[in-house]
Amino acid sequence: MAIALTYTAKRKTGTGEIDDVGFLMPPMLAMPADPGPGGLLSHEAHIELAYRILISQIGMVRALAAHIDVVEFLLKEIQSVLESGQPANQAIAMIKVAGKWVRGESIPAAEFKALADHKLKSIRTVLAEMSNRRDGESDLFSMALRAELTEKMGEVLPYDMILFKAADLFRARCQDLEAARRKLVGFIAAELKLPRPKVKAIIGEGWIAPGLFSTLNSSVYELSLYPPKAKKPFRDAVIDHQRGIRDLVISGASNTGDLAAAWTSFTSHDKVLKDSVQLMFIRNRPLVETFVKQYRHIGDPDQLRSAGDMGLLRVIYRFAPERGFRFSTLGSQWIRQMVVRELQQLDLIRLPEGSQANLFAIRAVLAERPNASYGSIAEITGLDVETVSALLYFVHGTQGGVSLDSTFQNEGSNDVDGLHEVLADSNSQIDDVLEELDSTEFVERVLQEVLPERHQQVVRYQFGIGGPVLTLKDIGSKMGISFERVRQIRDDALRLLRGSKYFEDLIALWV
Amino acid sequence: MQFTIQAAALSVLLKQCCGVASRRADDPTSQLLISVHDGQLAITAQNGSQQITRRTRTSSLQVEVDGAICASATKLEQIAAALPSDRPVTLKLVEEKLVITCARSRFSLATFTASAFPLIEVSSPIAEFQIDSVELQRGGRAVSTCSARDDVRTYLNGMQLALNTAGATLVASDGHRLGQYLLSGVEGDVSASVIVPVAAIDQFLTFSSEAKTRVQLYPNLVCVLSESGELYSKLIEGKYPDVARLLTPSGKTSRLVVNRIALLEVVQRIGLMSEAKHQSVRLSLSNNELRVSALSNDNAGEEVLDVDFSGEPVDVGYNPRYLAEIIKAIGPAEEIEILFSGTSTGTLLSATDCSQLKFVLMPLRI
Repeated sequence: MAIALTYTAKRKTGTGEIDDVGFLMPPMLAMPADPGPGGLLSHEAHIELAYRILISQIGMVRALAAHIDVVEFLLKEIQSVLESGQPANQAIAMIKVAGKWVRGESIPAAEFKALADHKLKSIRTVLAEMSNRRDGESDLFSMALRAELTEKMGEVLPYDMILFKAADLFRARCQDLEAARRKLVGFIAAELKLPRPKVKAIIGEGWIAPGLFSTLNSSVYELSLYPPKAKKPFRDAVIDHQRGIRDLVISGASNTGDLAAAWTSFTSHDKVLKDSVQLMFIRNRPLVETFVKQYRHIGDPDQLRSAGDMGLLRVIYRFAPERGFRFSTLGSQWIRQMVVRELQQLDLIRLPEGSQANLFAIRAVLAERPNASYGSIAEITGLDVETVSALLYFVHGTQGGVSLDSTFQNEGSNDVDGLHEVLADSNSQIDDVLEELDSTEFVERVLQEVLPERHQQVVRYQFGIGGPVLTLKDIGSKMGISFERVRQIRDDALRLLRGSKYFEDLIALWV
Repeated sequence: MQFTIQAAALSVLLKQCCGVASRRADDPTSQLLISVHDGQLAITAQNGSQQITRRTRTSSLQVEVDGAICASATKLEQIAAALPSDRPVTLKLVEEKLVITCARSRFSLATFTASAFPLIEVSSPIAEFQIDSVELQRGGRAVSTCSARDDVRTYLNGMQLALNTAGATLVASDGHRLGQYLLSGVEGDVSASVIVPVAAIDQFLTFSSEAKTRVQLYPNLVCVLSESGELYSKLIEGKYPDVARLLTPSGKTSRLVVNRIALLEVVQRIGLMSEAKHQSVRLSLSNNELRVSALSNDNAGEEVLDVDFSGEPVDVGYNPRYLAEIIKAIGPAEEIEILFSGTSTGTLLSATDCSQLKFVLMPLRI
């Protein structure tokens, strides 16, 4: 609790000032102790873990700034979500304003979107400036630009899904680097007959460090026993591998050798993120089990468990440590929602959102009083009679529905007749089809009567009568006239149609 | 045209002008324009981007006939320097030859008509201001060590002089190091930013012998006015990069204060060990101890200095030549302050007792 209070700025009511809804990010917190299997994480541990998750994500974003392609990809992803009309907080989770982090949910959506646009624009300005510069060489100006880009990127925390997509791209770009590293580990492991993880542990962060060989020398006892003659080729080979890694680092970055540092920082943040999420996940699995147990008679427990796990994972990323809520409060909501949603999707018939809860209520009433009337069920559950009567069909589960293909036995029927043979189809559209055929003929007649040949042609193309809808430009090129002329003809044709005696009927058809 | 002047006085004038005149013999700008008028001698030299005029009314000057003529700059300078300095020398135009006589020496030089001399065309000035000459020289000399010479980014091949209501600054950078000097003692309400080409910087700084350097700005020229002549220089076109963000330390910084001379000597000594290809000396700082080291192939050098240091431990490399030049330029300060902010942004260097002069040096990854 103490941590949460320290870094949460007090909110003033009513003013809506950004400063009042933001919070300060603490420095990286230590990994809380694992309570062990069966143990539960304390509230403080949850908060610490959540801060670690946030900080490591921000660290990852900053590291991504080392690769311009990745930054551009990230911006594109964010932009496409923003433009799709989804809430801005599904593109960007948090933004740093005046030193404080503001969550998308904390301020009005439009305000947050404006902030997001502003931040993205400033990142784009730096990117544009960077692309103006010569590649290959690093100097004070490009360093300053890169530092600025890193700084700006570090003020935006994208929605986790988007961040992870960009992180994957970054990883792919660094894959060659990874391969070279693996080769180095493999080489040392084979040469010294050591397990790879141990070699990795010895190397640590010193991939291109000049002191790697001496580190090996001092930490591997067998190596210190090598005769100097055998040591030298080994040393040279290690340095060769290191040089390979170094070259990749330099050529892989768009214009500096910062990629290696960024990759190191990325992986260390990635590890913090992974460890923190994992601990939070494992120690909160009992929460999922609770819900799976609750619903175990309805669905397949394994399927429910996996849905619950997904819910748990979502809530780990969504949990806001600065608010001071208990993790289990938010966690149960999300897990329950995911489990219920999974149940709904298991059903043959998809019920509207919220209906499941009503259904549970009706079931509960019927369990006590199996013969209750619509009215009394409605009265007890607080629903209206119509809803009750509609939902009663599904009281015994939506799987109780009957397929249209099921056969039935009736007088004069054979056993291949399905229900679909005898039931009226309320969705039949034969009338509409006939009407449409009729109206097409009518429109065609009106066009021929009112408009000259060329005007008819333009109107047909423009409104897709008897063919696809074409743009003014396409029509122009098809008819061998200019785009502007097509527009004039169209306007003229519309004027003629408007003035004709068929106008009222045409409008009626249109609407 | 005919006049007599003491050889020493003539030699001084010619020396100043010949620095500007072109060395190519077949070029019209390898000539000097000599003119005498109203008892005053004026010598003008030009090289296509700069033009210098020096005037004198010294007591040893005796004008007999007014007039103007062009003659070879190098030859004139060499002759004047070779003559005994305390003797009067007479220059006289005789049948399109410039005849120079001094005691019993006699030289005759080929000439051009004065109208053939390519004078820079000057429009009307758009601004005028005055800078304290001492300040200008001190700042300009220090800062111009950072100027690029032949960078493809032409705007770096010079020194920026920026004036606005907040003050005036001199800035020079070659991308790897940057110097900035805040000029005090600027008079004139001018807001402008010009880039003086690197070839003209020295002349620009030292031209004026008065306490205040009078500067005029033209659309593409800068002019230094003095009682004894004027210096015109073309300006470099282009926009100078914004350097403010380079000069503000970002993020966490570690601060080192160290004796300037001691550091300079250490850097120069250890710099001997840095390889020609990857020139770098490594500065490692922790626990008030500065370890300067260099490693190349199998040669290594290392030296330790006790220093005043606060902040995160630092381990970073620099080009030893650049570092030494900056430390020298910060002189005569006793102590030097260095602000490190990681390997991905520039390192800030300045004197502890002078906030006007600041340098930024690019760190190298080691």
